[in-house]
Amino acid sequence: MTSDCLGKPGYPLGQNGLVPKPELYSGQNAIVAVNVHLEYNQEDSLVMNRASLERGMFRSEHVRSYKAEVDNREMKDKKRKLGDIVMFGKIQSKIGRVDSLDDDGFPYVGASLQSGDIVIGRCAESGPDNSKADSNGAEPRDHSIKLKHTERGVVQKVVLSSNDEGKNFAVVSLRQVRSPCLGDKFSSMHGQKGVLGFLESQENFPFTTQGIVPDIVINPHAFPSRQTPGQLLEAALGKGIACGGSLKYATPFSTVSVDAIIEQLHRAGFSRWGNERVCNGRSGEMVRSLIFMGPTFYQRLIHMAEDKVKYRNTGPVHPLTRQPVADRKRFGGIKFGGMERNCLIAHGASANLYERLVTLSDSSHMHVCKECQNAVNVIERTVAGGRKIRGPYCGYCQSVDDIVRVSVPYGAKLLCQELFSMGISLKLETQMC
Amino acid sequence: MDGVSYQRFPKVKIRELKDEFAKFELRDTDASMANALRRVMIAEVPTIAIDLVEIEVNSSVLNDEFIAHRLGLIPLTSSRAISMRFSRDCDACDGDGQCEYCSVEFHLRAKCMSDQTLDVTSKDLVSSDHTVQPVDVGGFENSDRGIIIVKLRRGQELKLRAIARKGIGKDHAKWSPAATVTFMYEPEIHINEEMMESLTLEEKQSFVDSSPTRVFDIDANTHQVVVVDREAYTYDDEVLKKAEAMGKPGLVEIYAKEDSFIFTVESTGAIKASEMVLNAIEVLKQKLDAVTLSDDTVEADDQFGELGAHMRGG
Repeated sequence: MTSDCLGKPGYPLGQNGLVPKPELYSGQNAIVAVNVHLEYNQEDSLVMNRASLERGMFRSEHVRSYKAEVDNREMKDKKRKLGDIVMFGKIQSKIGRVDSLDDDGFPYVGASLQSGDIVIGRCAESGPDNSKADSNGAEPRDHSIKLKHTERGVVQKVVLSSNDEGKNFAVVSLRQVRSPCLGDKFSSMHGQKGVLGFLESQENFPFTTQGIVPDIVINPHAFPSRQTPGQLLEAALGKGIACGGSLKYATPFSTVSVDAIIEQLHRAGFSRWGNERVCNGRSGEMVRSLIFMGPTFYQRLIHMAEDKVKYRNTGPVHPLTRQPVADRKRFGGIKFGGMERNCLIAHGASANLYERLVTLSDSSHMHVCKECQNAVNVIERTVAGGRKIRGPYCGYCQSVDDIVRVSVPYGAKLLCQELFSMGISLKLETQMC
Repeated sequence: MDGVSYQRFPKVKIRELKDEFAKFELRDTDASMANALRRVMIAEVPTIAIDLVEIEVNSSVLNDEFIAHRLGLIPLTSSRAISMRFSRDCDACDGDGQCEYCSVEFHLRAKCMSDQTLDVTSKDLVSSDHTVQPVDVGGFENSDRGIIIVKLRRGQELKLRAIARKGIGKDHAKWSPAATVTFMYEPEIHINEEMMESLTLEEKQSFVDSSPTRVFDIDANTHQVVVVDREAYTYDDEVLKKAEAMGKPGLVEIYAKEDSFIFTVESTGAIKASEMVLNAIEVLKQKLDAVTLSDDTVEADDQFGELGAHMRGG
């Protein structure tokens, strides 16, 4: 179970946050400039001010909880032996680190757990009264709950309780505080969503004569064809309100006219259309054109780079196909699909293609009889003299004379065998190479 | 090339100087110098801020990370910072920030015993060094209480040890002494009097009103348009557009002087605004020293060859 919460929710413009908040907001008002920023806000990405983030903008807290049930000693089942009762407790686990666990099997509040650590220690009690009496002594069986390789966090709370059936269970909540990082997703209230493309230092941003520096820079290409002038109106209206205007209802059913907005901006001492003269933060020169700037309500979306990063060199393979698994939770790889294959073919990069699809995937061997062109199995057979030897043997030709070993992907071999089981025998022409 | 020097002697004229606010003119220099000064003030003037927090007890509603982050953002009086060591360069300790040369220790103990909500503020931080204290936030409401860190209800407790270190704004914004550092080019405004006289009083008034800031006004006696405050002009081009809309392009001409700047500097309170400017110049000088090759190094010739000779003015 997870929950996500923004660390420091915003407050209505024009109220300075000193009055009690009527509501908690799901986002914050960021100063947004509509400008190109080097090339880091192309294609709907956005550039953020690193100083703003370090001061706490868009920090969020994520809580994930882990639950484990345990058998109740009092109402034990008849079929269960005493040694099989699963209890909470710390044992030296072979599957993960137990450094942060207390003796009761739970981590202390505030413990920092990394991926692969045990969150809840659980084991089957097996003492000297264990009837099995293993030869290497009674070793308690491990039923601990382990963090996946993508999970980590700090222990927020540990709860021990029982459910209606009288089963005891424990819940451990892990907390993670995340500051925005490259690849995290943000959106305004107008559906202008984008991912973070660059974290720029404060001093490199354009600044106004008042010393105002944007928190976010979005690309002007986000507006034509999207039909979201509402965001520009929001920024222009918000700017006037932040500079001393009154709160206004801006629902589609009430009319805050453009004239009212520009008049308010004019009174606040800004250019009528919300544009501002800025100086280049790197060179200090005045920028030739005016830049549109104003406060805009932005929300942090749950699509975060940390939850999506996927990388591997070697790892688990699928038991059936022997190809790398795809799942991120299982430390899988990134699919090299048909279109990628086409691309490499177009490049003529055949060696690269072979490496990607065979060597690094499911490289395997099979045997083929050149005589009858059938795939051949490795079997154990008796030769003259009663000796048993193991090797490829063509049952069709009853010989071992003309058998070659071919290098194929395991998937191809599997297909061969599956078709064979359906009564289709593939003929394989082989050639030396 | 010989004998021709492009050296200039910039002048500074201070207009207003308060503890956390300064306004001054910088003349006879380039945008590059002015901007370098601005950038250094924001990102490279050292201050002291809490960097390491060990939380012993925290039963408040905010989590440990949140409190640690809030503590880091509290400005500390940092006049000592420029002479302090970075804990990464500190020989006395192994850079673990435990010695008096590079770190200051703080303690905080608070427990709410009454039914009233207890505000834990920056005033509750006990410093091991009397020169490094949380700043006195004067001039705001609740200023007697300091900066609120967390609020506790009955029975909740917060107990922690924090280590403050020297750092710069480039590493983390909490070390930046700057609240606002900005400059503007000094504008030069010329009114074409002849063309202006061709306007009616009403037209003049609408021209004056077209500027969002009060740059122009009408002289009550002569009915002439005069510049009352040219520095109020924000280069927003509003008056130029108005002049064009009235069919009088060239009614006013506005230029930005390329060699004079008006700086506005506001500090967080960690150091005085004046210290911020002076320290920035000092940091800038050190950076220049790092790239200047000294005259007497022979190795420089071996190392840089012709370039070295060139840089020494040979």
